[in-house]
Amino acid sequence: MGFVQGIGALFLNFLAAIGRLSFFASNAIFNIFRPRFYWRNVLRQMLEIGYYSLPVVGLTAIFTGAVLALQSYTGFSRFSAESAIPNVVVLSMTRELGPVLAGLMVAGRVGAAMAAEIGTMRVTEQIDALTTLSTNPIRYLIVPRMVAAVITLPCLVLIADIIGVYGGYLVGVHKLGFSHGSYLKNTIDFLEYFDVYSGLVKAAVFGFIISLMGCYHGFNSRGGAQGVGAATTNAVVSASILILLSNYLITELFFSK
Amino acid sequence: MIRSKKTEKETKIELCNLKKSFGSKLVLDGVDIDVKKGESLVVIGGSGSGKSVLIKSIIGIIQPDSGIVKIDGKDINHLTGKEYHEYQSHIGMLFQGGALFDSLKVWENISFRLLNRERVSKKEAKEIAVAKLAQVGLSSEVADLQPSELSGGMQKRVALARAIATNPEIIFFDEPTTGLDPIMADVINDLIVKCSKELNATTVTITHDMASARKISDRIAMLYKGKIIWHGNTKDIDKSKNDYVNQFIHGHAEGPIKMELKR
Repeated sequence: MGFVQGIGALFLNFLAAIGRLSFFASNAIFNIFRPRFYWRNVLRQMLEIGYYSLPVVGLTAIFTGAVLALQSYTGFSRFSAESAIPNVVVLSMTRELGPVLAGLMVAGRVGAAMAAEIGTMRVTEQIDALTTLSTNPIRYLIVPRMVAAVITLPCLVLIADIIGVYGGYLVGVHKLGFSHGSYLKNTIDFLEYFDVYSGLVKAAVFGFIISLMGCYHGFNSRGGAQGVGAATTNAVVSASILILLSNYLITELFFSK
Repeated sequence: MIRSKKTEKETKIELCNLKKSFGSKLVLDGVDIDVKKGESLVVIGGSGSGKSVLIKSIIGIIQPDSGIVKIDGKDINHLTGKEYHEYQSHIGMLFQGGALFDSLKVWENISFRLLNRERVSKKEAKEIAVAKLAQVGLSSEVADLQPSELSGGMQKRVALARAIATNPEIIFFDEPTTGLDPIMADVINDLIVKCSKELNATTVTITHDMASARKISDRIAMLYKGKIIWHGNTKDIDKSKNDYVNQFIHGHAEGPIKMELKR
């Protein structure tokens, strides 16, 4: 009996958490369209999320592109299909690895920072202070982060795509013996607008997920340093899992026949 | 907010049977109290007696489960968004830890509402901030510092300057002297008295520091287990004949109030 009760309680808690999260998300989205809109905060967050994430996202992308070229060579050379390498690199980067890896890196970097910052503001009563200063904390803190993340992540991913392809190009030209022209030609010939586009849609969704998880867990953190620590962990873990899950769902939506 | 023509003794804040519980824990168990205009009420009580919840219910940060909070005769839990904003613009609050925004400079903290809500120009807002700093005894050099560069006492003063920046009608003080040395605590007490007099503001303070309570209050109420068990004028507190009050104001371990050492 205790076991069944435990499962039931777990399930109810799960549903309650989904409910709270949905309420938080809809409240935030609703507030995007209400005055006043804090442009300055959006710009600051775009700088934080986009510009300062460039090094880590760029490094991830260049090594991923390089290793893709290297690995596909070991496979394709067995049946003399080396010419498909640029194609594999560019499709994997734009459709999957660019958005997913950038998303995960940003979740670790920015999602954690959001949860920690907002969580600390919560436990030091700064969020209550905002309310007493006639400022809606959702509009001042949450909306700018969400808007900035949804706008910035696609830009980051576009840059990651380019750097990733360049990583593959470096390995292809300098190690695998491609000529500059044929590598680039093979890359561009097979690339469709839709490949890039689908990756950017994914990126926007991931941006939403990262900011939602960071803000939600931070905003609802309780109980001092430990609470903020837990909020940070939860934000990163839940954002990472949701990124991978939603990546599958979006791929299913876009590419399944 | 509508101001009636009546003088001095009109009721500013009125609480009726306020109740709030978190889960199974009853925090406020029917609080009734009213505060007259221009009066300074201090609510004393031990840790965990529901003082913070009480003050947050009056501000509207916490929704009570039942009961009414009236400000100038209006129930604040049934205000429209605009009226609520109007109400917020007439109150100031000094938080226990200061709650200064650490991403902003001191002067931006003080003039936060002016900059964000009332669209005052930067230059003007800074001038007001410097004037408010002077009012709490800090020089204008502090204005450009970050809150993290200040000592605890200075942070409290800056937080006080922020609370009074828009000349509020009601000011709330949450444990204003906690964590300060006795001298700095007295400086803060003096500032609270001075600033409330200058603004002719109604104030509600929660504290467990009796020296501070005696200094800044006109009236004292004691909260115990979610209820107001005694209230009266400050000068009468020593002859309250209430065992709970006596134990609290003299700080005795023995008495009717038992510290809950285990849950």
